[in-house]
Amino acid sequence: MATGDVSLGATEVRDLTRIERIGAHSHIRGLGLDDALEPRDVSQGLVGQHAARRAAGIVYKMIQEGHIAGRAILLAGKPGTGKTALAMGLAQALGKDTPFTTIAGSEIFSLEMSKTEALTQAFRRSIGVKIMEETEIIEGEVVEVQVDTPAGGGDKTGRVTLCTTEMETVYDLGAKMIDALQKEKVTAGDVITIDKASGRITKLGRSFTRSRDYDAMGPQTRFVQCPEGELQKRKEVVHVVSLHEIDVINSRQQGFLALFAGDTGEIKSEVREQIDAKVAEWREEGKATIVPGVLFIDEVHMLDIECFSWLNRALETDLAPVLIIATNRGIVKIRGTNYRSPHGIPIDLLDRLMIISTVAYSEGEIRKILTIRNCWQQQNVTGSTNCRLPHGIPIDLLDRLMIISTVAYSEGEIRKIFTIRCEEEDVEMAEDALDLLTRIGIETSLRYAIHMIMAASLVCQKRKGTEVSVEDIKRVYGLFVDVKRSTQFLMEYQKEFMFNEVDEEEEEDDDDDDEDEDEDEADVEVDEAVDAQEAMDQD
Amino acid sequence: MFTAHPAPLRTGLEAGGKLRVQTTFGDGVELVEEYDASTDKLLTRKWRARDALNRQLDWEVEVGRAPDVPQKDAAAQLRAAAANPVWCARDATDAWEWHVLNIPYEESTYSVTVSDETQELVLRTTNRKFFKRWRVPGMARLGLRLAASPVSFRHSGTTLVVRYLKPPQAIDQEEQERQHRRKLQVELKANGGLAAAGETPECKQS
Repeated sequence: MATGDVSLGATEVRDLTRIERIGAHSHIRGLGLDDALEPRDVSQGLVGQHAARRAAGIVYKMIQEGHIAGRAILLAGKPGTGKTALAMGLAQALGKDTPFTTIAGSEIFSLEMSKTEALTQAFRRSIGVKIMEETEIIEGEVVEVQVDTPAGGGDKTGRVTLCTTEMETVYDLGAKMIDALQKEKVTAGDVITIDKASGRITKLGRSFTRSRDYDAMGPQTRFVQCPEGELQKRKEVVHVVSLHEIDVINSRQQGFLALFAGDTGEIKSEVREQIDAKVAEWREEGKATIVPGVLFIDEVHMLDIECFSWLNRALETDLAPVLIIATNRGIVKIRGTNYRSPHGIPIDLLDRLMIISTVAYSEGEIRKILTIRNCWQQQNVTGSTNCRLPHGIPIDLLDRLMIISTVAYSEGEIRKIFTIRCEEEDVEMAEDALDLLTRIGIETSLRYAIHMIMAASLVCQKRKGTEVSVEDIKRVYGLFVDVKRSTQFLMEYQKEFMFNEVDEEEEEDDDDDDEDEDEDEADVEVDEAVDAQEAMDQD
Repeated sequence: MFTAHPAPLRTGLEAGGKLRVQTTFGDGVELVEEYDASTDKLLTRKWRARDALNRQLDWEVEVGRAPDVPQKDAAAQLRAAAANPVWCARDATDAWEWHVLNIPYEESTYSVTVSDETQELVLRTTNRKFFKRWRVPGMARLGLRLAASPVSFRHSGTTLVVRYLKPPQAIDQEEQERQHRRKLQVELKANGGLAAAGETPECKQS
């Protein structure tokens, strides 16, 4: 057989795998705790929030030890104090074998599916079943890779020869497999495995017989023995599938009708019951273990009262994940309730809620929660007669929650966050520019200042600078307004906007403070766009 | 395949000169056997199981040639080239046979041994082009251990044939099954080609 000639290098493939979008929380790699679960000041992308992180660390430990399934945690705090960041950090810390589902409270409202079905699916997605499965793999040393690109275009064809110590086989490759081999940079002498069902290629290392081929090699080059026996092998692999995935497999039409079955939509409760029974059976036989995962519901105030009552019940089932919910709201009315009537909930449901809540929850306890969350005003909440509830969550559900509060960042912490973000977004920034940005961050908001990093770096690029300077920050500050300046702008010019009459009416209504703020935020975004447009025109 | 499956439910169908017996077991495992209607020679025997999550797995061919059609897209991306040797099992009255087609090397290249601990036959080639370990289903079902003496092989043209002589127990059992199939065939004639084969002999350890 031919030696190491490989035609792979001929077509230079640009590797796009490294270029990823940078998300708002992409710099978070974990909770940043040491072995004793004490938070390090700046670690894994998280800064400050010591108390909240310490609490999250305990939650993390409890999840790992499986003690916390079926419980709920509430992350509450002012906007921009790192609630989502904490949840993301927890997800990263738990690793990819623990199912972690993130949904936003408003995501469950769909015309295709009922709210409870959507919640059930989210719940079941967060529970993993660890199961042994047998898969067929091809494991061998690459003798030769050949790729032919037809002159007139069309699909590439290729061939790979694999061998073990006992045998040798030539495989014909499809276009996708060729791409995969090129992406993994597979060359003659590599020992690889190919998963037959998924087509996934794993490079195990280089064969010992090739160890003298190169003088220079990277420190990470690993040498392995050429595999023995047959090329095709069966291997037992541990696989984590979510309950939802099992539901979907079993709710599909069987037989030839499966060809016409599209989206599964709602899954029958009988199917779920059968699967629960089956999973329980596997557990007893030791074939499978349950991995209770984490369901994170962001913006939980968007759930309505039906969802809350469903959550009450669902948390009591034995296959419940850890529920983490986050909200930035203070005392607001529960969605789906009528303001004027007590809760606006049907009386029977209200009765049920009352029985659970009033017994378990005294006035003093509410006051305790209010002390933890010191930004909430103290208020007497007595039973059902008061519509305003802590965090806008019914007392009965609140009773089941562990509340972690996040406080505002200090100046030093804000500065560190910006340094991390600059690294993450690959932006060079001058010290004085960072100082200015920190000031802006303190005076406006963290989010606004974080947005400015990328914008300022683009401005800097435009003037062909290498390092973001104070001027760039100033320019961006001029181009984009923050919430406060936008509000001021609106105060001055609101007559010129549409529907300004509506705003006036709402301003009289004191109770709707929170919602007004929201609308302002929405306006700001529009405003920023308009301002940016104007600035561009001036250019 | 080598463990007992409960509650067999059998149906037969005779068409195109073939008798096709389909068995569905209580645990969801399916077995399809095809016999030549006139000579009663076993042409195909294949199994299909379900995995733990109740997904249907691919057919596992015990006797006969595996279909060359790729069953999934991922498989179409990687298939053994036409130049490779092809492996298939055949059934003869006195022996189990395994044919390796498309293998051109001379007879002295091959060696077949019995691996006692894994109860497998092992085919090796001195030029390291082909290698295979396999179990003998007929022996495993009867609970018998493999011996070296019934094994033989010969090479002609581009085909290598490995034979394992059936022990008397296996020949007896196959005779019983044959008689049962005859009854089934009579029933099929009466029913116009399709019949449920009610009471079956104790379903072999399969």
